Amino acid sequence: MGAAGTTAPTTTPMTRREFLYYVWGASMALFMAEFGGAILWFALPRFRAGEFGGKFTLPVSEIPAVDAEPKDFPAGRFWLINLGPQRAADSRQPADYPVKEGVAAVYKVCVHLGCLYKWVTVNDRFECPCHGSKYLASGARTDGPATRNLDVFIMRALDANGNELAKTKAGDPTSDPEAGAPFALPEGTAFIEIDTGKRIQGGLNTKPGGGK
Amino acid sequence: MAIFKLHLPIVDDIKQKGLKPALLAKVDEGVTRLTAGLGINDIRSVLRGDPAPRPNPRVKPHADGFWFHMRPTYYHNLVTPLYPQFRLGWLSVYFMVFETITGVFLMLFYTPSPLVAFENMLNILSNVPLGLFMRDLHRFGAELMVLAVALHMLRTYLTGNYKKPRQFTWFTGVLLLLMTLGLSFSGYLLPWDQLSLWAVTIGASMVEAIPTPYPLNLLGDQWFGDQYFIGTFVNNLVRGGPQFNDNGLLRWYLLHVLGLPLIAFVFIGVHYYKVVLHGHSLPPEAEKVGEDTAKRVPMDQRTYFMPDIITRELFYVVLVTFLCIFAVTLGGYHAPLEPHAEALITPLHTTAPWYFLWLQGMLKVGDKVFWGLIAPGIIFNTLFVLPYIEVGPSRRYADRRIGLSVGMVVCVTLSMLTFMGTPWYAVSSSADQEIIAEIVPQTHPGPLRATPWDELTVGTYEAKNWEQAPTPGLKGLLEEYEHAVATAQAKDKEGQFKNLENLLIIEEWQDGLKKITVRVTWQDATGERTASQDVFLHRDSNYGG
Amino acid sequence: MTVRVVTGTIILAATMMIVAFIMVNEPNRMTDFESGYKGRSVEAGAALYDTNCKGCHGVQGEGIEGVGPALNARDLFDGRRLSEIGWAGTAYDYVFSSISGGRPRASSAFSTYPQRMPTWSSDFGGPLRPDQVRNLADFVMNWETTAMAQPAETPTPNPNAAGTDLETELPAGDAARGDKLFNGQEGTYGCFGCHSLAAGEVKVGPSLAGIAGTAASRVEGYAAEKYIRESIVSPSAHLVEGFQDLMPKTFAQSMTKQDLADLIAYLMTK
Repeated sequence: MGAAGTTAPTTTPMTRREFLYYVWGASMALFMAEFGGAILWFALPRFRAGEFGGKFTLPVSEIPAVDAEPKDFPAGRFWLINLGPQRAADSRQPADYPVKEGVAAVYKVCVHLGCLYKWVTVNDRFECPCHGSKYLASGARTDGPATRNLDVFIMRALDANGNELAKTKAGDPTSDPEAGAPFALPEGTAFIEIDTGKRIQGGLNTKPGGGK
Repeated sequence: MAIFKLHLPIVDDIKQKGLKPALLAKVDEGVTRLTAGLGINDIRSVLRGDPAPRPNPRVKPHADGFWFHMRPTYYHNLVTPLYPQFRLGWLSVYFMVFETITGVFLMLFYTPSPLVAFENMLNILSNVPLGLFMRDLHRFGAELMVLAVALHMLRTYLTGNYKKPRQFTWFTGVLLLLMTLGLSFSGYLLPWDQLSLWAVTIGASMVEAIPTPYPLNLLGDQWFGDQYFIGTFVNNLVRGGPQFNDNGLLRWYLLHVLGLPLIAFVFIGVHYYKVVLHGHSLPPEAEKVGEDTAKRVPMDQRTYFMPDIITRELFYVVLVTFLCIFAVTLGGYHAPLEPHAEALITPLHTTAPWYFLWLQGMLKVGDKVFWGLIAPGIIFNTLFVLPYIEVGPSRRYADRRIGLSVGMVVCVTLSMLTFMGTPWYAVSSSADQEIIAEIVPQTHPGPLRATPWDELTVGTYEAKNWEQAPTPGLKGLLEEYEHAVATAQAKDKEGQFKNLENLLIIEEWQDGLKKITVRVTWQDATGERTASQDVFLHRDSNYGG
Repeated sequence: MTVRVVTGTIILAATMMIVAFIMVNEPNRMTDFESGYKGRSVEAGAALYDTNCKGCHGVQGEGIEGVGPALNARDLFDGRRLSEIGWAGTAYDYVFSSISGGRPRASSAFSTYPQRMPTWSSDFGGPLRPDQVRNLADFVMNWETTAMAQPAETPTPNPNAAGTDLETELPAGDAARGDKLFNGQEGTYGCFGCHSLAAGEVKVGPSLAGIAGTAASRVEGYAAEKYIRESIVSPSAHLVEGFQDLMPKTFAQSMTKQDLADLIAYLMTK
């Protein structure tokens, strides 16, 4: 402790000069906060369209046929899935996560530890080579050490002029069955825009065989 | 069952004194540790401006703490006003820190490869929020740092502060001057635009002029087929090849962000340590001749670091930061970005940065070995050994008439050489190229590109009819054109250039793109000649018009 | 002393306001800069085009017949040219890759432009840097507005065109004239460029040596003349094994009935 400072620190009243120093100090702290925010804004990476992390715009001709195999888009790190009645009737689909028919963009990265899973035609599902997590075309986990369903990117359906006709709903799929769900493309959709910078995490899925 | 008893001293304190006083005491203890000797009350008494108590706790951070150890506990009253130091040494260190911070931020978005360096610059300026702000701050700080360091050296020379016992301080200072110039010059190359590449090529190519003395030149001829091999060798080391290429850019980048800063920080430490060790010298008239009393400051002449000096320094930080930020935002200072570097085209009127114009001026005088290597070598070596040869005991201005006169002559010569370094001196091509270069220069946008696009009405215009131009922008431009012609005419002593016609032709070329032709027609000994230059201007390109 | 503290606080507040002001304007400034540099790219591209490209593609991109196709053309921007050659990417990618890599040989869709296009990008040994190729591509793409303003070509039906109907009557054929048509001395059909008349020699398409005999046995129910006629006006109808579907499909429109008859007459002598 300072030799001259043994008296209780709050006894002497604050002088004007001392107060002004504190005001200056506070304004310096504010400036640091402002500058800190500016530096964070400066340093955060930004992605242009067509770069992973940015937006990918595809014409509707690129979408796979209904109930066909998922289509691979490596540049955007997603699979495009088009779920129809066949997939909705898949008996392996966990009861907790019924299939919503429509189009969605599923992130290629396994939700367990980050490997890229593959589509195995023979077994009609996604399988991850690292630890064996298995997912259906709808993104629902059926087996393996992963603890949730596959993540999806927020997708928008756009008409020929670029107006938004539909958008993937944000939210938590565990509690909200509409969040992250595929949607049927509205009439007049010319393009779909997948924002690889905005991802919705898959719903909780830890039961053996699939389920919450 | 208590196997062990947890003994927390804080709990005892709370029991003894009560919660609030105990916590306050703990905080006070923390603050004392942090500041190496000042408790809350001590700090408050500093802020209040109370006279220092005895014993004075305010000297403890200087004696025991790390951050305050290098700073003096007190200054002499005579060195605290603006004269004699003008805060120039302080400014030099401020800019070093300023440049390091802004430079590190820019490093987030820059890769030193000729394939992407220029694209990185475009990315910083178009896709990074506050990228332009950071780049302009860095450039502005660099220019001010060179200025501050140069003025600091001039001031130190004029007040004779290089004399005993401060000779080595001066020596390290000259080293730091070289570091600063090196840092500024190496940074100049990094944007990889036309200005960067060619300005630095001019400077760096001087190492090729290092002579290979006899008998090494004969040996070199025999072994390498190159009798100038020492110069070639050093050039290849410095530029990464016969000319700047990807190796060269990487080497200069490493110099700029690692090599020179490391050396500079070490020598700043040495330099400042010696400054504090000997104390800031008093104004020459305040001391007896030959005496150095700076270290022994009488009690009544002391200005303590806390709170006076630290408040001033904080204030200067705030003030200079504000001035820099103002200059690059509302003040309109912007670092230029010329077109992508082209290794095969040197723009007309390429110049060195302003702090090397004196060198470029010297190079126009004569042989590049003497004027580019030997003369600067002599100059810098003289600077290094100055305190060891100029050993007169007095710092008073009256006793240093010769020294001050020499200093004045040097300053005047430097200014003259700086002027000679500019393109206005001894660099010219033919009159028609000079006129065209006035309107569409190759090193910066120039008047034509800066004219607002909408005011460039399609049509053919003669320079001499500038007053009838349909728009004010065209009028100003054609007037400058006419002026350039008049200057060229006046310079033409041999009567080679009988000016006939000077046209400006503006055509619509594409959507939003105009083609402008500057055409000069004249008559000389061989008959009628024309020279023209095409420029394409897009509506958006925004050269400052 | 207090003066410094107060002034310091005021200056700091002013600094904060300036920084906040530029932060607010920054997104606009960035967009402006981006479009500004796009503009400069077009300018640089215009200068490069003037030096390197106008000799084959015309000063205003109008193209030079038989030398270089038009770039300031509607079909480049409305997708027609891209689909004709089966390009899957964007028009910009098409322009950029054509300039970068050049064209080693005229494709069938551009059989009227026999000259090769030089390689420009230094990535493939050409004289320009990749950023200069981007400047050129930006310049060419800047013709989009004027090109799209051109009227869309409605192909005028040529009443004399051969047509794809195999039953329409043809005039009498002159084998001697057919010879000239086949060998390029008359017309621009360029048959000899892909079909050799020497036995066993394959240029691009099958050799036509002995075609008069083999043609009859190609398709059941087809006389030799009918087979030859179908091969010319609807080349995709029947592919010879081992050959790809590369024969131009344009002869049905571009060839007159007389030319067709002459060629059939000539080939029936082989």
